[in-house]
Amino acid sequence: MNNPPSTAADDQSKLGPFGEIWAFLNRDVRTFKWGRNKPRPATAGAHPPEFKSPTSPLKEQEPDVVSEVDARRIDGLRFRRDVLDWRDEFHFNVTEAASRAQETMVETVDHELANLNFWRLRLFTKPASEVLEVHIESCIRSRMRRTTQIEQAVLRHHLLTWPPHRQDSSSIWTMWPKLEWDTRLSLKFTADNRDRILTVLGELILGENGLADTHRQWATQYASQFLETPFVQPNSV
Amino acid sequence: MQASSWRRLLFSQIPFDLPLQFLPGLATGDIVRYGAILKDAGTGRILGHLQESGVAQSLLSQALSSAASPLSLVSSVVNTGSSIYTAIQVRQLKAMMETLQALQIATLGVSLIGVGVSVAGFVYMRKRFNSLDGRIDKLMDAVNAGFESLEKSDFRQQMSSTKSLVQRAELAKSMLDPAKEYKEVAAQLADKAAFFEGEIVFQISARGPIKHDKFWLLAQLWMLSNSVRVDCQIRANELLNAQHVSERIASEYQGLFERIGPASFDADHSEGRATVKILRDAADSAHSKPFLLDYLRTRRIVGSAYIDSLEREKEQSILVLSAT
Repeated sequence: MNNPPSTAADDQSKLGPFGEIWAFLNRDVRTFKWGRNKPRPATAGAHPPEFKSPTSPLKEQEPDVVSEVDARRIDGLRFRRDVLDWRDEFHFNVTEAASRAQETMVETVDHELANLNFWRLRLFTKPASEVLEVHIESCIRSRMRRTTQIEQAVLRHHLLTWPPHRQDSSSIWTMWPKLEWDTRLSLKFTADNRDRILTVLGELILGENGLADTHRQWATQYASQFLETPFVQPNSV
Repeated sequence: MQASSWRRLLFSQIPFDLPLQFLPGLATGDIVRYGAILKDAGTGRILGHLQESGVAQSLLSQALSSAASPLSLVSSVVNTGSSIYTAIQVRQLKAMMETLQALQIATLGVSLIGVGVSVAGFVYMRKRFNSLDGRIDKLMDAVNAGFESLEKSDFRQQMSSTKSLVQRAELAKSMLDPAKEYKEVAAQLADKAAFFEGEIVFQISARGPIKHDKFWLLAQLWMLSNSVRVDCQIRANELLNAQHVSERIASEYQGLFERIGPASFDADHSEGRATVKILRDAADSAHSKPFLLDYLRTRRIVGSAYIDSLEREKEQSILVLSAT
């Protein structure tokens, strides 16, 4: 093709017919494949090919197994656990305080009923909300307020260890549903109504959307702010 | 025996340490623990992975199974320990409890799913399933337990097939190709775990308080199924898959258990608090599992060899796989 004529071909033309046959018979068969004009390269000075062993040398060249985990994620998980622990303790303490308040109210109702005179019990009856108003304030509202204050202090302490949430508000805000309490406790405060009054009190304090539940909902929502936002490394703030 | 020489003798291939050397750091706050991970508080570097040995589960399995409720878990371990074990076992149990407390593992929640990767051994796992099975009978017959008749038979069927799978895993070692059997069992246990998870989701999503006893039973069955599942994948040396499965399991625990609080149950809120604490610890332990599996994988430690070495350990209940 474009290869220059080799010197071997020139030599062959000088040998005559017998010489050509002799030269043909002495040719290396491997030269047929690569073209008759290409002589086998000289081996002198050439480097031997590098043979690779399939076992040990390959093992040395095996690439490192790449890690798929990020240790920095652990800080986020620890923070998450911390928030959940705070939320769980808040739920527990508020429920505990509300349960105690309810137990006290049961005793109070029984005590009041036992001490009411005949006229108050039968003729000049008052609504339960009116009779129990003072007790609701002292046994329930103030007790819950105290618990809330303690929990606020705990939360403030936690916030200091949760950068970048140090400046977040730790005020626990829940509304006292006076209208609902007055309406549901408008039952006449009589011995006949004792069980109904206690049921209503139980629902208002420990029931769904009751006092304890409202506090728990607040804590759940507050904790969600932290749980739903991606954790930021303190040193990257 | 000196800790270093003990380490050299028993685990020349795998860099195990005793927890003892990490305790001062944990006490001062220089080292922090998350789940089964010990981490340098300053640099953030992982120092080691807590890992229970076969001794831990052989000691705990009976006591854990006999605990009727989360609240009685620790006392059950202590009380049962003194009544059914030999003097040596009582000593080991005491030492283990002290180590767990020193490591600031407040509850035994992590033991329900295993500290590190589970090496409970299928024999102990089956014991636990049997024990839970016994409790199911009582629970199903109890008034207001929440089991309908149709649900009962379905549940019974799922339980027996799960137990049968654990038994298959137990016998797999003697097969010509154990890895194949382990993978098969793991795949089928994924279905069982999905069933128990579905039941838990239903319990949580139902209106009103969650039925505590049923939930606790389902949660244990779910976590046990998942533990055996991951265990099988490790024994089959499918470490990358085990890692991915563990990550998925951890996110499932997070997704479900975070919705629950101490007052979510129909039981007393003290019982609720104990249950939730165990669930939180179990979720943490699940989150830390992928880190341990990743370490094994990147260090080319063969899964079955790792578990075998832990199962052979007869003295130390808790070890630390050093990452330094």
